[in-house]
Parts: sequence; C-alpha cells; structure tokens
Amino acid sequence: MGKAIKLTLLIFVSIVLTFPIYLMVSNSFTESIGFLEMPPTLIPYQFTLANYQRIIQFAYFGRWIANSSFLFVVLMVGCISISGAAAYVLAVVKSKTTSVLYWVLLSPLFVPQITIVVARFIVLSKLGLTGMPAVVLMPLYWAAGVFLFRNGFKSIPYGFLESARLEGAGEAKIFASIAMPLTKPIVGVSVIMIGGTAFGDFMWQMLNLKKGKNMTLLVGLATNALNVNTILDDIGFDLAVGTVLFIPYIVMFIISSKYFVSGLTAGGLRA
Amino acid sequence: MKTKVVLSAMIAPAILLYIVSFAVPMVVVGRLSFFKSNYIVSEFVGLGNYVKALQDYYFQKSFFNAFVLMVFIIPISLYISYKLAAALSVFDRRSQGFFRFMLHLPSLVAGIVIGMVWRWMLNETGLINQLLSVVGMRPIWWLVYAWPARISLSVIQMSAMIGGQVLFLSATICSIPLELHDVAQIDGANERKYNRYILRPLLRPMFTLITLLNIIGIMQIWGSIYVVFNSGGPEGSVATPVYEIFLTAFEYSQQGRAAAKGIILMVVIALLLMAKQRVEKWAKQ
Repeated sequence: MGKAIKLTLLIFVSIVLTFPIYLMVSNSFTESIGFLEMPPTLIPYQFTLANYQRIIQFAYFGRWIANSSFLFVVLMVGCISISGAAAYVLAVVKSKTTSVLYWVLLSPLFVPQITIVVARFIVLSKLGLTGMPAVVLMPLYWAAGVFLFRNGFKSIPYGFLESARLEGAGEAKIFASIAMPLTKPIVGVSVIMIGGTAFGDFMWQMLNLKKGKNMTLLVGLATNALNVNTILDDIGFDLAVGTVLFIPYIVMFIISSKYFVSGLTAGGLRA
Repeated sequence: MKTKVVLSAMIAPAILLYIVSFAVPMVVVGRLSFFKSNYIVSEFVGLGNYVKALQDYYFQKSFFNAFVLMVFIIPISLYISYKLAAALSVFDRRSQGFFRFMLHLPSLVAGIVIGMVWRWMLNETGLINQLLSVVGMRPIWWLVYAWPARISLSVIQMSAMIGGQVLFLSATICSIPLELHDVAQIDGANERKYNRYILRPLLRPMFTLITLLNIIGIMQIWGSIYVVFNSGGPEGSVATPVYEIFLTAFEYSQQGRAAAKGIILMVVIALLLMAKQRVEKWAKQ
C-alpha cells in the first residue's frame, strides 16, 4: 500500500466518522423551525444562539459544571494513584500471591457493569444511602488501570529500576519518580478513560443524583433534553445539549494527546 | 523488611476499595438473587428467580440481539481498525496525532450524547433517508422495524468503537522497537511480509484483548439504546441483555429478578471468554 492510498483511507474514514458530530455542532446554531425543512443544512440555516441561551438559563448550570469538574479531578487523581501504586507492586514483586492478587483485582473487568451497578444500588438502598451525591465516587476503584499500568511497568527495562535501587531509592520513590513518568502514554489514555466515567457514566449518575443542585452536567442537561420526547420538536435544543456535553471530551483529548508520545524509553539506557 | 511494608501500603488502598465497591456488593447481589424482592419486601424463593429469568422471552431475545450485533460489528470494526492503525504508523508524529484525534472523536463521546444526533439522522425524514432518496431508494424506517434498527445500532456502535481500537492498536505498534522494522528490511522483507510475520503476531495479544472487550462491550450497550430507541426498539429488538436488566431493576423494580439476570449475564460472559481461550489454545497446536 502506498503512502497516498493510506492517506486517502485515513482522511475518508475520519470524515465519515466525524460527520455526525459536525452536523450536531452546526445544526445546534439553528432555530428548530429550520429542521423541518429537509434536507438538513450543512451550515446553519438561520444562525442563532437561542438554543444555547436556553441552556445557560438553567438555574444550576454553573453548579453542574463545577460538580462535573470536581468529580473528574477526584476520580483522576484517585484512580491513577491508587491503581498505579497497586499495579507497581504487582509488576515488581514476583510471587504466587501477587499473580493471584492480580487476577483478583482484575475480576471486575469480567463482570458486566450492570451487575455491579445493580449490586451497588441494592447495597446503597439497604443502607439508605441512595441519593447521597458522594456515591458517584464509587468508580474510584479502577480495574482497567491496574491492567494497563502493570503492563506498562513490566515493559520498563529492568535496568532502570535496578539502578535506582542500587543507588538507594525506596520503592515508593522509584514508583513516583521513575516508573510513573515512564508510563506517561498510559496516563494519557487514563485521562480519556476516567474522563469518560466522569462525563459519560450516565446510568450510575442518573440513578443517584436526583436533586437539581447535585447533578452533574451530563445528568442535568441530558435529562432535560431527553424529556423532549417528540423527535422533531426542539431538535436544535437537543443538539445544543449534545454539543455542550461534547466540549469536555475535546478538552480532555487535547490535554491527553500531549502524552501520546512513543518510544519514551528508547535510548534511555546507555551501554 | 521496610520495603515490604512500603509495598503493602502501596497496594492496600486498591484492595480496600476493591472490597468495598466490588466484593461486598457482589456478595449481597448473589444472596439477593435467591429472594423475591422489590425494594420493600423480600421473600426467599430459592432458584425461582433464575428459572423465571431463563424463561423470560425478552431476556432470551436480548441475547439473540447481542449475538446479531456481535456478528455485524466485531469482524468489520476489527478489520477497519487494524488497517487504519497500520496505515497510521507510516506517518510522522504530528499527523498521527491529528488522525488519532479525528478517528477518536466519536468514540470519546458518551452514547447518550452521540445518540441525540443519531436519533435525528435516522428519523423517517432524517439525513440517512434523504441520502437514500438521492440514490433512488425508498426511505427505510430505521427506528420502527427490527432488522433496520439492528443495523443502525451496529453502525452507531461501530462508529463509536473504531477510534478506541485504533488507539489501542497504534499504541502497541508504537511500542514495537524500530530496530525490528530495520532488521526485517535488511533481511529483505517487504511491507506485506513485515506485516504478516512480524506486525500481526506482535499485535495478536491486542487483537484478542479487543475482541474480548468487544464481546463484553456489545452486551453492555446501553446509552445509545436509551436515547435512540426508546424502551429497547421495536418489540425489544435492539435491547441488549444489559438494557433488559436495567429495565428489570429500575423500571419494573424487580430487584431479585434483576440480580439473577445480572448473575446469568456474568456467567454467560465468563463462559464465552473461556471458550475463546480454549479455541485459541487449540488453534495454536
């Protein structure tokens, strides 16, 4: 395959995949009336910010943004440090216990999320804790992170860690200042995966956040947009909601893409 | 000795959280699956929930739906993602980043969000049908009939999955030392041979992982169904097992039944994973 064909393939698929998003963004600036006149226009039919004004007018709009950001930061710091530290131990210590423990800690990956959600919800309702905003922090244990980080740590050349040990560094220090920085690409992936939980885990957040001021941006906006049941009516508002909910993902991706750098360890070890 | 303490302290938080947020709820749900319960009263019914769940028409159908979706989605999306990831690897870092960004955009977005566009595009008079009429085809009622609904859900899902798969695959390709490529070239391997004898074998663990994640993922499609196909589509024809369980637990408030269904789903997934492992072992011999 020549380079030109590859380029064409990539461009073509990129356009096909991102076209719905383009439509969403461009048509969110259109008055709903414009939609009844099919075919949908590629550029806004009659440019208007009315849909966005309606979104901003929600009483708790600012609060929702704050809630979502707070959730994201807490999950981010918590998930990466907790599962990273565990994965480091599992990668460094070679014993029967750790290899069993590894599979035990990965087990949530093999259990359907819904089973876990139902289970958690039942436990919470038994304890009378449903509706407590703090329970949206339940995804703090991140099994996929244990998997990713352990593989990452395993691929670090043995000499890196060993030479640090010979120079008297403790394990915690090696983890924080050598192992972790060398797995930056995984941290980059984590931003997206954890962000997906914070900004996208609609089911769990919807089940637990019932009060307006406790809602996340996702729950607050999506429940309002989805209440618009007739499909054509108010589609502009729907798409504007979609666009607003889409912004955090772009921000996260731009933050994380900086870390998708390959070959960080190449040339680090000198003979 | 001190090292041991430090290492234990490092792994302890994860174990603690694992117990609180996973192990304990699982034990509780396991116990509850033997009770008939609706959040208020509960009564021991033995295996009754399991029997009723297995006889449930919509629960059976949801597995069929998921199977259909897997057949539609997995081979195609895996092939496309591999081609894209391989194509991506010849470009410099900046254009790689750009294409990863473009391809990954749809998969970044929650099913809830992207669903809002799709339910508008798949409408009777929506964009897709407009395009069909340009080609001279009659409009298809994507959201009204079973098979069109399944096809459209597959397409929605695929568009959301390819980016992530490309990301996984190209991260693996990037981690392959460049020397391997050079050595292969010196030994006279052309690109096709390199792909076949070096790249694909090295990617095989990642292919396996992605397939496994897809099997698990497709049974768990929820967001786009919730938005695009209100209440599981025509006759529940796109409802995945997870959507079925969601309805049982939170719409019909049958806790015990939902617990049993959840455990059945868990067992089904475990069996599938084991079967796949077996087949792979057998294929190696």
